[in-house]
Amino acid sequence: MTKMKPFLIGINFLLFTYFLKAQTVTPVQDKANNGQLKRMVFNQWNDWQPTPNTNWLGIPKDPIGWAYWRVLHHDYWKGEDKRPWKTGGQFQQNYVSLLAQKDLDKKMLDTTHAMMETNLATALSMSGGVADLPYQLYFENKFADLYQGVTNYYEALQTKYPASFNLMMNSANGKRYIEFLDVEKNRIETIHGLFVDRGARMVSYFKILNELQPACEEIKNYLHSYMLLAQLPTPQKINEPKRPNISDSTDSQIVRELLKNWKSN
Amino acid sequence: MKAFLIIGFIIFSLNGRSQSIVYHQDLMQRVAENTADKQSWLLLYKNSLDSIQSHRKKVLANWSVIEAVQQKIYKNLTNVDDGIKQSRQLYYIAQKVPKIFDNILQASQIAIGKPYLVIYWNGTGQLLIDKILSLKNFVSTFIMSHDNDSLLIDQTTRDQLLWATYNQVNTIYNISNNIVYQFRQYTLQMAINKVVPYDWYINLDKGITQQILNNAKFW
Repeated sequence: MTKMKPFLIGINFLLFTYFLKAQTVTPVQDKANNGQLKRMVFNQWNDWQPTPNTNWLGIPKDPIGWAYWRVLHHDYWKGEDKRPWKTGGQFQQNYVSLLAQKDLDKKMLDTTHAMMETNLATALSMSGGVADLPYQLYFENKFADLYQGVTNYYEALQTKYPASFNLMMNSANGKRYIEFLDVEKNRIETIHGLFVDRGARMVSYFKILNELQPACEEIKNYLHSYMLLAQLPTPQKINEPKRPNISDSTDSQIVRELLKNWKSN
Repeated sequence: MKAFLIIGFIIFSLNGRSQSIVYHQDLMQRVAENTADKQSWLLLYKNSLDSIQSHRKKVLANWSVIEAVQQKIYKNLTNVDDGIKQSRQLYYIAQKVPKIFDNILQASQIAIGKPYLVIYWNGTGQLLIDKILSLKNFVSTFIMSHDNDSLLIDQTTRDQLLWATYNQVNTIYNISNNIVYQFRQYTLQMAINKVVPYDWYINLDKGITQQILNNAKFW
């Protein structure tokens, strides 16, 4: 008996620590919860709707609904509708504002795109070099022709009359013309490469052209005169001119001679 | 002993807990519908946000281009172009200005030897020095202005101004050359001739001779 007692006590402790873990599955129907969940979807209102409304006599249409909302959940029923996903709720308000923002951003995009295109067109028209269309189309040939004309004269003088060419190159005017052509050529190249308004660039080209055209003619004439001078016979070949047959004895004789010639003419 | 046994079973029955899983039959469908609805809205929202982000990125890119162009135009107006900075006009100006000073100095040295020229030198030499210094200052501070926000000058205008300055420097250079030449040629007799109006007598003689010739025509 004395051995049985501790044994039973031990059995009891063991049973005490044991937990029954049988599982049961119980389907439930919570109508309120179900209805609430459905109402959270904006397009399903036709589920169980415990209406809290009363008829014209003030008698509740649905006593359970009336009690449910007006008594049990009175604060919820009378309180503000805070569902974010309801029609016109916070989400839709945000979405509408987002659509407005999107529309505004689209307009801003269109505006900035137009401005960007205008700016790019401006930059392109202001760019020099290959983007300088007036130069490519007109001025390049015009300037090249002028320079080629002058160069031809220089080359002709240098080839045919090298001594005269050297003389001309060392003369003050010769140096001045060379410097002028050098400066104008450099100006054309500089203006061609500048980042300026196309109209202003064309005006500059025209100004240079107006200066260059007469100057080139002047230089060509100058070079031509050197050619003509070079063609003259050398001083040794020129016969000594005969002295005019005028008496130089006295002033009175000179006057008589002059008057005689004048009368005969 | 029975009592211990009974107590043990009672305790056991108290601790025996059955675990039950309760599920809502419509819950999953409702949750799925809600989630689908919510996700569709969120997708629309996301699409709008994406398109706003895309628009803003493009706007930013557009602004970057606009800013770059405007910046270039602005820099182009406030800074002189490298082409003009390295132009031949500037090169020749830089060459001629010292020569002008040399010429003026040379003229002053000639004038020291010919005191009657000092008055001419004072009249023109100092004037040319002032003018050339003024032109030099004009080129460095105005035409070649750099990072000067108060001077917005078009590059073609800079070129025109430089061209005009170059021509003026050329003229001054020629004048200074001419001064030296004239000072060398100018003699005391020429100075006296300037002072004494002997030209009047020459003109008088010319007039008499012309009269004789005119009379002779009527003979």
